[in-house]
Amino acid sequence: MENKQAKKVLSAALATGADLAELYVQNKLTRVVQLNYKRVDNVATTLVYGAGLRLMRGVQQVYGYTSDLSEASLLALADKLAAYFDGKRAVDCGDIKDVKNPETHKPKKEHETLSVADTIAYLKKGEDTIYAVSPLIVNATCTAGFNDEKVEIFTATADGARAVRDRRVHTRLLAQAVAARDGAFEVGFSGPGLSEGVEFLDEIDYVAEAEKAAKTAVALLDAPECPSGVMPVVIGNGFGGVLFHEACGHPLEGTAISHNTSPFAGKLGEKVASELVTAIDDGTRKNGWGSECFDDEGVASTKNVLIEKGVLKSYMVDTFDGRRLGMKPTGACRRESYKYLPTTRMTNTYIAAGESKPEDIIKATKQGIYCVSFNGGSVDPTTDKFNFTSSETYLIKDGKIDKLVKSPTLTGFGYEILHKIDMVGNDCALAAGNCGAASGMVYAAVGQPTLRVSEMTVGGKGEAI
Amino acid sequence: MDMNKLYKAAAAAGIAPFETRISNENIITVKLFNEDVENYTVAENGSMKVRGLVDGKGGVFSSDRVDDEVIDVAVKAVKDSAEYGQPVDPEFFLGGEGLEYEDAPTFNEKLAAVPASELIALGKTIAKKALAADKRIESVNVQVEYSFNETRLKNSVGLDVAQKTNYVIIFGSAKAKDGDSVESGSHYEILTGIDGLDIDGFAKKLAADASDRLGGDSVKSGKYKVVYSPNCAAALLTALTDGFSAFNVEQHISLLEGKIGQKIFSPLFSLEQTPIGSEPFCSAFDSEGMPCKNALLIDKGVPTDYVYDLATAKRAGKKSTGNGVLQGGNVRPAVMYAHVLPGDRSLEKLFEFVGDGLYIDDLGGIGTGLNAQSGAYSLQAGGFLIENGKLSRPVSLITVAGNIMTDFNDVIAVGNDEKTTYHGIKTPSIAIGSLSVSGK
Repeated sequence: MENKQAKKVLSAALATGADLAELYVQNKLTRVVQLNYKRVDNVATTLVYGAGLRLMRGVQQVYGYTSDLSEASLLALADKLAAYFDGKRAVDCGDIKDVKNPETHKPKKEHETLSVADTIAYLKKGEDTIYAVSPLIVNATCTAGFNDEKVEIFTATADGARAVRDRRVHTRLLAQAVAARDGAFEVGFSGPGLSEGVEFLDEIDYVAEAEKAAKTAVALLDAPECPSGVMPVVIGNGFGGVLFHEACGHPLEGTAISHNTSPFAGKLGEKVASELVTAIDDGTRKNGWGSECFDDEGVASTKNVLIEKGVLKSYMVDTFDGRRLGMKPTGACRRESYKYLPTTRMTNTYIAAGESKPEDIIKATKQGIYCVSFNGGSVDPTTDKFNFTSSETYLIKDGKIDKLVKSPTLTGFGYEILHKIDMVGNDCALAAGNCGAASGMVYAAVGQPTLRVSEMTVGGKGEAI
Repeated sequence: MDMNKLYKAAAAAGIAPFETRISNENIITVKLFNEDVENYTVAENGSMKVRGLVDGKGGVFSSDRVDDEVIDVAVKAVKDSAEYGQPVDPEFFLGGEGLEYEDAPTFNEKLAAVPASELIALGKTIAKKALAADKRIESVNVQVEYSFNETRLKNSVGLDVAQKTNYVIIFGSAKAKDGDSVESGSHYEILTGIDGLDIDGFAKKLAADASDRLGGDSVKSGKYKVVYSPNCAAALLTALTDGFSAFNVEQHISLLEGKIGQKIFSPLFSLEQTPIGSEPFCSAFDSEGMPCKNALLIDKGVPTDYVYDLATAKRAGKKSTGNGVLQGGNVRPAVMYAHVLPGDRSLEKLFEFVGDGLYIDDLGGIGTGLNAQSGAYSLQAGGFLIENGKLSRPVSLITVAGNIMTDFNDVIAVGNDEKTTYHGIKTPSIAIGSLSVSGK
């Protein structure tokens, strides 16, 4: 969209006293190629295209969206939203100035350079591998997802009018295997992804990822139930970080903090975790799955240290929640699409590496479980009560990894777990995920090194230990 | 969008038959923090999904952009998609002749005329009453959303049907605090009109859902009788309804494969699908334009039949049951608006019947802790202890583990407190004879 057209819309929107007007224009093309049920099951393209207009006055927001980007439609939307306020113009929208984009996460190979036929051939190797692992495999789903998104964010305040344009390219590969025997089904899964183009397919050993998913599914069929009770839990690196994401990341988001519905509200500078814990939300990480040069309100992404050696240093803050908190935005205001009012969300959130060797963490654990990875989980940010389902879990006996057990559910309070982290490994890694919350589903990476929680409630179906 | 131009472009590109599904939606959302309107959202949005055959193979494209500029993009995307698509029988694109539709009156004109100011006032009243209901309520969030959708399904061989739907969802969440104890609670209702809304009742339930949980503690691990609230029962039932898909049966990933006609569930448990009705999940036709029908799926513990779209029906030598649902690029059969038939006990009578056990009204981690293929689950849970036929104290930080197939064979009573849930399932509370609970 041209700055001139955006200026007209912003100017109309500001007519009745809003102190901020923001026009967000999105054009996102998604292509999915999926092999499922031993065939090419889906080759589909989706165009997400529309605009969202947001007005703020103090701590009130008005939002509207439309997929009709004609000038008449946008001006009608601006008039409709402006009618919500009843004041006089407080901000004049001057000429919009372009903000330079560093294009940090530019893809090396564009998606167009890979044909559908070549994508299918690539996925087929993964599919063949999954079925070759065992006759117990009843289904393999192999998927490649390609997203190419262009956003334009025009903002007018008393400080001036600016335009930010950002392109976000994501590539993700998924491999899921289902094994079955006598009516019992088990699933193995892998889903790496980055803000990269087709080069990502060369960097990943997709066949190895698919094989691992299949072997996990088959092995789980024979696994005994996980014991239940309170015990030490060693959590693996990479996607193990979803525990921190859910249990501590969400309660550190501006929305929960500004409404005092988080146990971390008002605790800046206080010790909220073991001194072994340093936690970071980093939207600047090069080609990170959750990275972007600017967030969805046009603020440059930042590396935001949330907890440093156990002390709460910062929250994730967006412009609107920042008004209640008296804080500046940290560049983590996000939304799934123009249909969502943006709010504070995580980008790439992880616990920084410590000094322990992963094998030493296992050796130091007499009895407990080792959760290599998780299916996911959820948290109630008000109470900080969380739940996670481990996807690959081993017993630890006398400092050694023992047998695989079925997936347990871990529960507890995030603020308690943070204090109980008593060993942190040196093997930090990040993994791709999709985070669903108030402003829809956004790309969010999670991460951590191998670490140990001294005690945690494990809900397995086996006997208590 | 010039529809003639789109159909002509599709025909010129060799896409035949060709189908369009054009939707328009209007949404008004009011979000309040305590009694203050914090966000107000309005939307007028369009979207389209197109589908067609090229040399007998199916292709799809979907877009929020619905104007002439997108016609070339749409035609090219369908062709690209069809190049690798599955063969689809052209007869699955129905002509309009001979199809008789029952009425699913999901549009309420009176609701459409409600001004935004009334929705705002309603939200404010609920917030005010919930805050006043209990002094331990520290804050409330209330969201009132009006939604209108009109979808027109049309194809190049004569089908042309439309469905209009409008409804209101009111969702509230509350924070309760008493000393160091903090709890959250929520309540929602999906409404086809706001005239009959019990505002006092809504506000009380919202406040109580948070404050009644204060001071909750775990319970001893063991086997318990459990009463699942409608929300919890519906969440678990989503995995069971997947089992009715004839496609899942073909792929050997259905819980119900080979189980039709067998008594595998409790005789107290009956399930029907009710797409013909006035509630927001209802529709007169499915994604293929087939007329939808109400049907009993589980009759006193016995599954009666699977649900079919046109393709699975043909393969099975049956007729489509009007259950085709467009999922991604494919039409697959799925249950439309399931309804657990209610019993005659109120919730209080259910507690009396159970005597000692647990009332579970909060399940966490459904998305990851429920294995839809095996029916097994292990989930974080919260609720209340039932002692001597009455709720005695709040219970938190427990996990319940079970399997849908065995649990619904162990139904010992069904309540009459049915609720339309956001899972697209209407159900009352359901009592299960024995479940594994992990606590202290």
